[in-house]
Amino acid sequence: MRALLAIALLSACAPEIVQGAYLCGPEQSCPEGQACNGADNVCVLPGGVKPFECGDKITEVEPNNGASAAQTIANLACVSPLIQIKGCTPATDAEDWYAFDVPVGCGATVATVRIDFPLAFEQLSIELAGKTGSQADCGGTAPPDDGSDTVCLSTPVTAGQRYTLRVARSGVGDCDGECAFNRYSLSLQLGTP
Amino acid sequence: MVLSRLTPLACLVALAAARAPAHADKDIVVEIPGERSKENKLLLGSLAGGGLLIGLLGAYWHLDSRSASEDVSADSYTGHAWTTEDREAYDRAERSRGRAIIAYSAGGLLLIGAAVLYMVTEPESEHAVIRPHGRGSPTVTPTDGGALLGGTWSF
Repeated sequence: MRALLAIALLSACAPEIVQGAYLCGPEQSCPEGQACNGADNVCVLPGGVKPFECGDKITEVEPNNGASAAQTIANLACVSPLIQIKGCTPATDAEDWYAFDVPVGCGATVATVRIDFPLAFEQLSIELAGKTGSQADCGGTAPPDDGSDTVCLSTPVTAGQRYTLRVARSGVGDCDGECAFNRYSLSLQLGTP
Repeated sequence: MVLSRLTPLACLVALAAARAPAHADKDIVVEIPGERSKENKLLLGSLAGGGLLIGLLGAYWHLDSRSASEDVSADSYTGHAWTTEDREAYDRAERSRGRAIIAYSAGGLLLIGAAVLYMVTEPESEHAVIRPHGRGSPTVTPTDGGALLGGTWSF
């Protein structure tokens, strides 16, 4: 009787997590009994899981899988507004390339690049002018616990030159190949140092 | 002065009452409660104490489980990603919950066992019967300023 009472009391101590309460963690991790929904990287019941998809808000234009085929980011000013591109690296597309021109006549100019992506899937990296981005370049603050990861890069650029920017899957956190894909939001801005 | 004169009178009345035949031969039954052995007391104390101690451990794990459970439980969208820390808290809640159930069960069984053993090993009380033989013999012992009235029986 006492044992039954204890079990009844303890049943209230079992973690109760409704589906949709958490975003997927690294490598599609989710609470017990739930799985990562590929469509929106939210933890749901296994029966509701949909495969990964890039979504319909993608502004990236394929093919852009090499420097020569890079997608052009046009009309940048010496001090430009923030340009945003929604991109995707599905399993069949490991990298995306972008190109931009620094306007002629600009003084000292810095290109600031930032990429945000769900941490549920394979991590992404960025490269510009031989420099690789990192989380530390985002300002040194801890990343927000919002289910996303951020990588930043800031590098001086020369007026009148053309640069190519590479976004690629890094090979980290790919669930042994099971989640070798990701979506991302790329931001580019030119400005003074 | 008056008291010292009244004392012999009181003694005579008492002697007369003691020699009265009423109730003189009735048995006197005295109940002597049984006493537990030292080993029995030790066993009962160990069982009850052990049960209580294990029950307290269960309460500790119960609270630990509840705390960890509250850290990760969610009934609506949190906007947070499921992290390694969340996983550890979840596992801790489950682990402590299991331990608490085991401890409550074991502690409860020990307490129940102690209670049952207490009842089963209850020592029986003994009844001693005093049978007065014949009439009691009253005694009067003079004291300073009075007398001590008593009686003697054999049985």
